[in-house]
Amino acid sequence: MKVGPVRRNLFGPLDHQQLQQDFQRLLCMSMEMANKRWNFNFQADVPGEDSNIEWEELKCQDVPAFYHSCMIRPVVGPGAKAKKGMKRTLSSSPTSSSSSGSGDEYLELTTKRCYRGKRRQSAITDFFKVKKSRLLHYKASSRL
Amino acid sequence: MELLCLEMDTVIRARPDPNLLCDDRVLQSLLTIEERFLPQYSYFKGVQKDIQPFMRRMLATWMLEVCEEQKCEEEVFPLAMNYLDRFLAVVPTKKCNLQLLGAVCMFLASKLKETRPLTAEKLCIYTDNSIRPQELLEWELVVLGKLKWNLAAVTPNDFIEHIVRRLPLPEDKLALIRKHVQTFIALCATDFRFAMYPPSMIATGSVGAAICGLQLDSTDQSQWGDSLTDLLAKITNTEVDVLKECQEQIERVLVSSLREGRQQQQQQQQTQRGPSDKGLDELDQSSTPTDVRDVNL
Repeated sequence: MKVGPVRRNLFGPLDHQQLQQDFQRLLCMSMEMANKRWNFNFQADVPGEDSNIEWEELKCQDVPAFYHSCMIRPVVGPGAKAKKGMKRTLSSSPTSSSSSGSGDEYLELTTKRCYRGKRRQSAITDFFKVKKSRLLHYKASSRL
Repeated sequence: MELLCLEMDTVIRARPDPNLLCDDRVLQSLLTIEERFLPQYSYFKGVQKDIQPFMRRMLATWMLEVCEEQKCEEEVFPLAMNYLDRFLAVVPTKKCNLQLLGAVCMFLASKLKETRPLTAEKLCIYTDNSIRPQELLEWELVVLGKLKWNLAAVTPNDFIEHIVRRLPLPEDKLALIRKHVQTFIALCATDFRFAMYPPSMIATGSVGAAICGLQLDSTDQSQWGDSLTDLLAKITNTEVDVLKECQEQIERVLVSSLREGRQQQQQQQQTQRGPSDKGLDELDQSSTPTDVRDVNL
């Protein structure tokens, strides 16, 4: 690629190790926030203990196809097999061969089981049917 | 057998949709939601400890140059700056990570707005390979999280057509006016003082500055009825005084930007005559969008 003087480093060299640490810290923070918000432990892929959202297990065939397991990285070699069950597997960007155990977020779902949350939902009731809500008034005002 | 592809390398672009541009509800909706996408704080007075306004300008200038060299759609740069400001308003950031952040913001804005977005690899080359594609992808995730995945922000560019078509402007000048307005908007995006202004105000001020700059308002006073500013203020429900102030501010930024451009040219000539380390160093930190020099005051 032909790049002129636009190609330049503005603020000096980067400490890649420090950058990785900063990334991990920020990622963990947003993960924690997501866990709290959805009452779901995304690291372990299991529902949380809180009561604001209740999760209910579903069979894979009961949910639309786009929620089914899939791999985004082509499987390399005969030994490599998609992990099954409750674990999510790391799948880094195509350019890198291995991710340093960092971004749980590049993952595609490889879960066999699916959960559905029970919570007052107005938009996607087709897939998230509300049976009962423990916190009836949870955000009720903002949703009406 | 070899296949030869004769397809032209053209960008696919949607035509202006009269259903969107001629319906007043669209403009009203844009005005209603635009404030949701403004950065929450003036972050240099609080959140940020390591970075300063001039660093934002250095970064913005570089981002604008990358967007221009890559012929990005006009709204990519202002949108990327919106992401940057919203992120910096909530996350204390180190100076050395700033360019990475800028690259991530361009990456996201380009993906949202373009049919052929910038690639991670290309952006890394533009940082002189100081960041790696893998890092760009990781930080993309962090930025997305902090922006709460709200990427479809309203930019000043969204208002241009809505404003321009409500003004009595000569048909043959429209393309030129648009170009100038876009340049003013880009100029505003490089300057932190405009970061908290509603996009509609920046757009309206830029249209006013463009029309005045091209002296289209003086040829026939009677065609405007009210003065230009009154008319503009009415279109986007802005207060006349505020709008006037905004337009003047834009024009001042242009003047100082032009001055810097001239200084930079002089330096360049000096460097050519007898190169000194200092001259080169200052060249690297230039902060004038190249396009601005084409605008007549």
